[in-house]
Amino acid sequence: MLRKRLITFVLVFILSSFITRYAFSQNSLELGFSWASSENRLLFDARMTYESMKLYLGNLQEDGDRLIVKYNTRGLLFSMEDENMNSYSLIWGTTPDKNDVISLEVKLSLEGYNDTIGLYKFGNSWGLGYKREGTEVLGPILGSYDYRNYLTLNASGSFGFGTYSSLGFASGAQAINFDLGYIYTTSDIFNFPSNSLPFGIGYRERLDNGIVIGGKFIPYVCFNDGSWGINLEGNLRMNRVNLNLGIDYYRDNLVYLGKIIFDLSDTKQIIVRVNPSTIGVSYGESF
Amino acid sequence: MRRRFLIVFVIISVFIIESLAFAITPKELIDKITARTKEIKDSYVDIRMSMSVTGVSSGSSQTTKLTYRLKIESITNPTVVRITYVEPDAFKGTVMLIDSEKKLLSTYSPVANQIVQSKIEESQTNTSNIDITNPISIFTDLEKTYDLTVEEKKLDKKDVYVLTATLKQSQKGEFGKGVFYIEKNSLTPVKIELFDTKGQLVGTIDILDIKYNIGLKVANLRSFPKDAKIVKGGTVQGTPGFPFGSQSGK
Repeated sequence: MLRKRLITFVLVFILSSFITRYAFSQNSLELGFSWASSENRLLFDARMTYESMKLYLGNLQEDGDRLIVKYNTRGLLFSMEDENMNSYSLIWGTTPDKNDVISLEVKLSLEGYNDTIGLYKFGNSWGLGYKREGTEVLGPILGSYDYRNYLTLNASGSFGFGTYSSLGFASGAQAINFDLGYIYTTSDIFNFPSNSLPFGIGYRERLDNGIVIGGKFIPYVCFNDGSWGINLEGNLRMNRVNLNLGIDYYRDNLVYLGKIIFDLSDTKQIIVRVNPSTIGVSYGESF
Repeated sequence: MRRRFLIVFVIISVFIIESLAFAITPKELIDKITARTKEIKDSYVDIRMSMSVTGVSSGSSQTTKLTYRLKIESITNPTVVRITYVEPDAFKGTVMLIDSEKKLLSTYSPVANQIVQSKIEESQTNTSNIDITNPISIFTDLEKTYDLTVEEKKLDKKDVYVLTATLKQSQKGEFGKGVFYIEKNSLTPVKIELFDTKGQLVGTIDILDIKYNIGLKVANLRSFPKDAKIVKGGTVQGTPGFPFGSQSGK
């Protein structure tokens, strides 16, 4: 009993010291509901960012900061940052296929780039992931890069490996990026099939009226049987509405992922998130 | 004739005495501006900056004129400054947020939809930049390095104080002279001219609009698009001065 109290005390102390000492980002609170069509249930969603801490409950779709979160994962995400801007995350959730998702990630904040290393369990697979993302100013050009590598160990004992890179350049009102990857063995994490080569191009432009429009076109071919698929992304940012849409089509299977943000003001938003298993609506406020 | 001369003499004397009595010294002017600044809780400033930058290319030096138009929203407590680029077109929509409370510098690029967040570390080195979170700091200890004079003039039909700071011969500095045009009634700056040590005009800052105490909120200044990608890392030394480009976080 005493030991339990001591552990609780230590945890509370560590948490409170993080919260009070390391102010980092803008505080925000988001509350909403998701309708899970497969289960015919209404589910509660919440996302809170408070100083150095993030806590998400429910719908974890589109949290781009994480290394490993499938779009249809529901559960808990807890993240904390230290005074050097490194972050430590725990994800504990499940997908509609009843696959457990457990992930531990460390994101190191280095000079101008971030390295993320994650250990995860997805269903019966274990994996190790690594991601580096960064930015460089090359004269008038803002360069950015993002590359990811995964090594997985499936329940059958076989290994899987994949790599995916994206290189971007932005200057003035235009941005372009090139994507290239190779998936040796598909895993529960990748959307791409085994022995496939995704490659593509993306383009974004800010128009004179301030609207930003862009898209990514990433076809991929599977060398095993010559089958192909297409991954599409579209973005539209207007004055008060921001739309992000992703579509993946492979062998008569269509997966879609969407997010619309309605800015009621600079600090108040309504966010709609859609994927094949759920549709969620949340209200968010920054303070 | 003698009587008329006496009357003219008396009138001129009165004018001279009056002007001497009401002439303001540089120190008094700086004290008045500092006192006025203490009343400011938040501000909105629309400025146009033109700077001549000399670089060496293929062995010959070339001077390029750069023009920036910035909207600067700032809150004094906690000190948060949000700078939005309006010109040139290459930077339009770029936002730089200097958060002195959280010691963070965030630069948002709209077309890349990316925020680079860097830590601000206190710098021991002195820079020639004007601290944008505390522009009045430019006047602090100014008389130690510069000889100061004040005169009153008309600028665009406005009555202004013209504070001229000329680098003392015993001192070294990047700028040889600075001329500050300060509106007489509101004590707000309307124009700043900066000269190099050779006397060449290298920079002009026109204050197109300035508003004080308009009820800005910290949360609004700190807000960025929710879906923007954040790259963290790197440190910048000292609080940034007037920016002449986007930060790389390095």
